[in-house]
Amino acid sequence: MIQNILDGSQADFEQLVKMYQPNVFRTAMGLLHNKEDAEEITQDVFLKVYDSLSSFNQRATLSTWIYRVTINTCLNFLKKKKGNRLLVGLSALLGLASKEKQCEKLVTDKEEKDSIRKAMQELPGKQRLAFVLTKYEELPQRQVAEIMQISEGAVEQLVIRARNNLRKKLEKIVG
Amino acid sequence: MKQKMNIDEMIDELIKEERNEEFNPFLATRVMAAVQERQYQKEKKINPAWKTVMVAAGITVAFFLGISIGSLYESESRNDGIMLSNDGAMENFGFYSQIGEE
Repeated sequence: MIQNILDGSQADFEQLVKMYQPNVFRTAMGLLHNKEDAEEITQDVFLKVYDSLSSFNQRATLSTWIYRVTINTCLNFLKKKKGNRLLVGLSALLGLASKEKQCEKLVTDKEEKDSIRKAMQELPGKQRLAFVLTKYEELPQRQVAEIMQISEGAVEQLVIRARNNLRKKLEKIVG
Repeated sequence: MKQKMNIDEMIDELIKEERNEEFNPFLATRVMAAVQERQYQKEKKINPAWKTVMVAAGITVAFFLGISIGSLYESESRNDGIMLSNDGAMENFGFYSQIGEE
């Protein structure tokens, strides 16, 4: 299939897109928590795949390579979005305001979810990646290790630490 | 403990919800359209330069091909002689040859 795409077969590339787009979209959702952004990233990822397929090193599997492209694209997207920190700050302020409501046990469903999303966004990079790939994509530890280029044991540790960090952060908010 | 369970459930519920988020069914079509557009833009970018180069190369090739084919031609120099003779005067040859013998 890869050779056909390199030879210019767009039908084969479309097949590849259809095959991997759910995985790319889910991973992007896990990292960005926004449907529109995740769709935009999915499109960008496949354009990058199309442009750089000739440089694909076949020592890794195609899916592993696509996951890496997805992660890098998401991280670059988040870097670019740094300008939107003001908005994050505002949402944090809103979070503080909503704490009063939380004290009154009036936490709405949306607020809860936003708090979890925020807690996930605040996880250290590697923990977040390991957590998203394991929980959103349900990938085996072996593949997560391959994607992140670390050992399987390290992946397990990262996921445990991510879960604990999330609990700590959310305990503070939920009270 | 109950709170721990509750937080874990909240996290899992959010993950489940985001995992099940449906993407635009035309996403693949959008991707393919973007790929084709990019391909077209690439070709468009490359074309003008290539056109000039190809036309110049074509003219050069045609010029040198013409010269080389032209110099392949050699006019044959024949040593055969042709004699145009008048039939009416043919008998004179015998006459002259007889005179020679005499």
